Amino acid sequence: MTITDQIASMQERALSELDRIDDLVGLDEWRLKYLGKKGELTGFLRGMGGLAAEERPVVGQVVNTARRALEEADGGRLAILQAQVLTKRLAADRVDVTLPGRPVETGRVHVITRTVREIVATFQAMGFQVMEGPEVELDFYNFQQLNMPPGHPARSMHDTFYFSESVLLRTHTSPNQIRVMEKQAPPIRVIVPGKTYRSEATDATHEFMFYQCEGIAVDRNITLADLHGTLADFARSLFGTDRKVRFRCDYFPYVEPGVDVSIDCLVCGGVGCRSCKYTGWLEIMGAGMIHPQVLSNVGIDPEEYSGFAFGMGPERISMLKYAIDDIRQFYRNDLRFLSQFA
Amino acid sequence: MIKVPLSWLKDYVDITLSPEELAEGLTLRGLEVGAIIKTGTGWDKVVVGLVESIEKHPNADRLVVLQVNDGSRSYQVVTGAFNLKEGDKIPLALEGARLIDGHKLIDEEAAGKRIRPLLAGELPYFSVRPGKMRGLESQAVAVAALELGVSEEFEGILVLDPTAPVGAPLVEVLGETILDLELSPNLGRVLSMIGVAREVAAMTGQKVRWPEITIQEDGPSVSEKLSVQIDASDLCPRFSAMIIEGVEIKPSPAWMQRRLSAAGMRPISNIVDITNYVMLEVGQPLHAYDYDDIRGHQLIVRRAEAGEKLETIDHKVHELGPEVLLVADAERSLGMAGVMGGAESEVKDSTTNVALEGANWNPANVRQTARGLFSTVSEAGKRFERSVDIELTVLGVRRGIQLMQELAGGQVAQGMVDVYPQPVSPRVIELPLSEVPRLLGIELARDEVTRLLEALEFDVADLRPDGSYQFRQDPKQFTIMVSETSTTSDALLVRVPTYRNDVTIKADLIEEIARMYGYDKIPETRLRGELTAQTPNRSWQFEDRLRDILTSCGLDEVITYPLVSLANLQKLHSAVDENHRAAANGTRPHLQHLNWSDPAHLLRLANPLSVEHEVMRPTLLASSLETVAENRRFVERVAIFEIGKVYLPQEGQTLPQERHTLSLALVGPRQPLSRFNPKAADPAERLDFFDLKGTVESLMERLNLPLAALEFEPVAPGDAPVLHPGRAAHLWVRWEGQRHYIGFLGEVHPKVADAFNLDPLERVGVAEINIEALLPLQKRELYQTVTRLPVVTQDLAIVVSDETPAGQVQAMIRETGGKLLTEVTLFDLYRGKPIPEGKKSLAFRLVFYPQDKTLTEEEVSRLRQRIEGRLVRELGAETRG
Repeated sequence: MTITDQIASMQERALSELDRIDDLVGLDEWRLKYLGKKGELTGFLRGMGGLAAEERPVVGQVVNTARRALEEADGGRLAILQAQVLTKRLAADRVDVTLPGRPVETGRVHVITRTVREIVATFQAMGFQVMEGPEVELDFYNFQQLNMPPGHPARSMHDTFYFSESVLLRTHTSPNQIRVMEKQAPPIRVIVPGKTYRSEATDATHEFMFYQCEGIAVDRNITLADLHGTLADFARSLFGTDRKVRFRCDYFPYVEPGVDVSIDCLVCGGVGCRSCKYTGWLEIMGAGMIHPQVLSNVGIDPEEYSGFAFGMGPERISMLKYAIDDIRQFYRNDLRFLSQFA
Repeated sequence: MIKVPLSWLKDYVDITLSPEELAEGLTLRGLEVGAIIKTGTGWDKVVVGLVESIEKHPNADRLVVLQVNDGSRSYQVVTGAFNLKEGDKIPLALEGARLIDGHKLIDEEAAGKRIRPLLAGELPYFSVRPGKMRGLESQAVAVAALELGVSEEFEGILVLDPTAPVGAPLVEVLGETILDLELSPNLGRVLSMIGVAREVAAMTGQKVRWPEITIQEDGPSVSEKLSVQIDASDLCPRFSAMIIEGVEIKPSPAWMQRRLSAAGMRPISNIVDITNYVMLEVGQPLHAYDYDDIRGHQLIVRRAEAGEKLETIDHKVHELGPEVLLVADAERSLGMAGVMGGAESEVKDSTTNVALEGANWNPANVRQTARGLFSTVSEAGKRFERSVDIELTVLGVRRGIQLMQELAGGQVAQGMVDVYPQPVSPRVIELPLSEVPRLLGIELARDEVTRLLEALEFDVADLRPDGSYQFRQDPKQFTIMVSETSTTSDALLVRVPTYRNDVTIKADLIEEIARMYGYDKIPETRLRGELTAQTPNRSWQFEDRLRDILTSCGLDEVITYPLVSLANLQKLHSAVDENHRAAANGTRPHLQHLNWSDPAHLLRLANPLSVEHEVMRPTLLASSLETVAENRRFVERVAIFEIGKVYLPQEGQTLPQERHTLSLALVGPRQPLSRFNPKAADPAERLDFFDLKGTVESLMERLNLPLAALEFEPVAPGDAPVLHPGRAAHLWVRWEGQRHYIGFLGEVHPKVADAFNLDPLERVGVAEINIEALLPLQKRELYQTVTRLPVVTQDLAIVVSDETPAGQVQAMIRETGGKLLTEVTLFDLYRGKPIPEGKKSLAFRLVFYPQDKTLTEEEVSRLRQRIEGRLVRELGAETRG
């Protein structure tokens, strides 16, 4: 048997052994046995010292060819075995993906905060600035400066909590019209959110505490048409771009002309249903051109300047938006209620 | 507010619109129609029948037998009513018709189960079925008014208008459509049929038809019968009266009863009904006196004497003061002016002579009296407090007397007493045409503005060549040369009808123009012009930031009522004893506000709705704990915050300080029960002081306050009795060399938890933070270089006395480590063997952060030695490798 035949026979044996190896440890052993420093293939090279000089290159070449063949086979086997190992590990890793995930605690802002933010952001985009005012307020600001002197019939629409004859809980955010205009000269664009209070028995539609967002814009040549445009933009921004917005005459002592702003009913689309009391319309706020007397009260000349004011209730807006049927839900703070608003 | 039956309204104006269109039009013009009520919609199978014959019932004296034709056939009807004659038209109920059971109503009233008005509340009904009455077949029912619900009349059959078409469904003849108007306080002028008719006329281009008033005045002169004296002309600008003698008191006719009922008023007797009818018709409240009860035949308008008593027609006796205006005779008071009449002089069944008053009263005074003395305001009061047209007294009284003469007979004394010391002249307003575009944003021609105003009975003047103005409607009235200010030729002079008390200035006319033009036709334009200087609202932005940070920490926001109960505030002090009180009032001024239930420092309502909401909160804690307790009934884990104000009265100030405040509350399992956390109920897995502190620390870090600037000072005995004395701290921030008190945090004292119905064994973490103290502690956020050089991490373990606060050790390490030591994390705390009794082992991970070059071994070990040395020297620490 020539040395070349011996190499061929070893190669054959090695390859057939390799086919039977099914783990990486076995593969390492096989590699050591044939390709290692003390392996069989190296043995042939070591044995070349006894060969004729002209045979040496030939045998060397045969050994190298065999080495390449074995290394290639080794690489192939390694890839297969590695793939098998990975497959096994992945199979062992498998989970029931229908098991519940690990809970992550997240918090939410109150639904009224959310609505107030929406209202404020809409007006901020139109150049209005946010201000706040006191909740414990003077009769002077809450009523008198707003054209409601003592005995004025409109006061009967404001059931008022009093601390003393002249100090009360504000019944609306409108006193801030006065507070803002006292401090700032036109042009003015301000939005004032905050808590307000009425001494009313509570039921599904009445709370003794509720929020309002008050806004005013004062400058030369501000018109009722501007009021329409600004508030219609607001209504469509909050309730949808295809909403119909209706303006009708209404009365508040501190505006003239007075305006009531409604949108077509979100429930019935204006056909008439229980939610809109069969009118097809939902009131969303009161508004109007600031009464000349109110402007005069704060030293703004009504012949030169005009402006509009508006006020709305975030609770009502939220109730319309989310179809909430009981205003008392808001300040009961039941987390099962509050957590419904993303 | 006012119910307007359209069949009545039709007397004064043609109604060409459907009820829905009419309601829409009025609503758009500021007269809000709250509801359209349609009566008679339940009158199926009730038709107009013609009485063909009436015969006695052969077997019963108290019954008659009618033949009634419905236009196609005759029905035999047996009835107990005797008010019919042949040829009458009546409501005929055929088989299957549903009627109100009048007998049952009357029986229930007799048994005391029902009080008048009978037609209120749940009503009993019956279905018409043919049957025999005393042996004779009755095929249908002749119907009384009560059975239809149109009035309380049940004695006789309702006789219809002779023009009613036989066989027509009754709803077409008697069905009523009623507009229910909800009127704002400025709309006193619309509280009558004429008032509404005016608006309808203006809307549809018509003129109002007034009732024609003719009276036969053939009695003695009224001046011989009655004198009127006004002692308080400031409260009574006008008083008119007439006298009618020899009237017969009886029920008013069916048509009047029906109208009053439809308008929501109960018929009583003809004279009283007429006063109400005229009030509803023209808007002038009238008062009828029994003339023979007026002693001295003199009416005096005067203020009440202090302590004077008056029994009103509701039979309540009032003790009065001089703020109440009275109508009196020579000897005593007869009624409260404009509010309610007196019992002694009211019209009764025996009355034969009537004095009829139509007066004008000061609105504010009526309002004050009506709301001060009565729980509900009378119909007259409602009108007077909104102001009534001063020209209406005469017309109202004449209309009343006319109807009395027609419906009650009697002789009318000649003339009228009309005391009107200072006649009011109509107001004239100058309106530059340019005001229309300036305020409405639309251009209207002069003619158009004139047309819109004239539709509402405003009189607009034309400028004549001689420079004077002449009014178009009333050419006799003209104003020569209006003032110098009115030289603008575009100004309109507008004369305001006296009934428009609500129109006093230009802007009021602008509204009239706008609502007649139609708000819906005014375009939508956008604001133009210069914006205000945009200055951010730091406080608003800061609070919004707090909300975002805290929600990201897993807390839910709540909003509670700032009005709280004193009892709940007192619960916060459940653990207070005398020592605490002394301490709380002691020398720590920043803690003064923790004394929450001292009434002297509370803002308390004078007129609370209930004791539950009586006091403005000086702390958010009571509401927080209440909210926690409420929620714990349904959910295990409650982690909430509130951003709101507390209200602190200030010495020498009218208004309190409204301090923006943040509260936190944490209770329950740290993680909800799940397969990852099956031991959620285990005490070690429940939220405690350190969860709360961690939340506060995260919040502060996110607000750019380094942890090193925070100081958590253990509460001293007595200075925060709401909290667990061993698990609570005051929070200070060191800022530019100053210590700022920010608030406190800790577990609630078990006694307080118990008071709020929480489990006293459960740990409830709460914190209250003064947002206003925190807000100024803001510095510019400066970028720190992020190094790519390797950082050096080392662990340091030391043993110190158990009494040494960990915070002190940590602060010392940090301080000594200086700039290079960027992180000091306590990762192990151990007591027990082999650590000696009274000591504890603390292990810290230190991270050294190279500044501009790689740290060398020597640098780090030098720093470490310095740290260790100081801990050993100053804290007696031993190092443990």
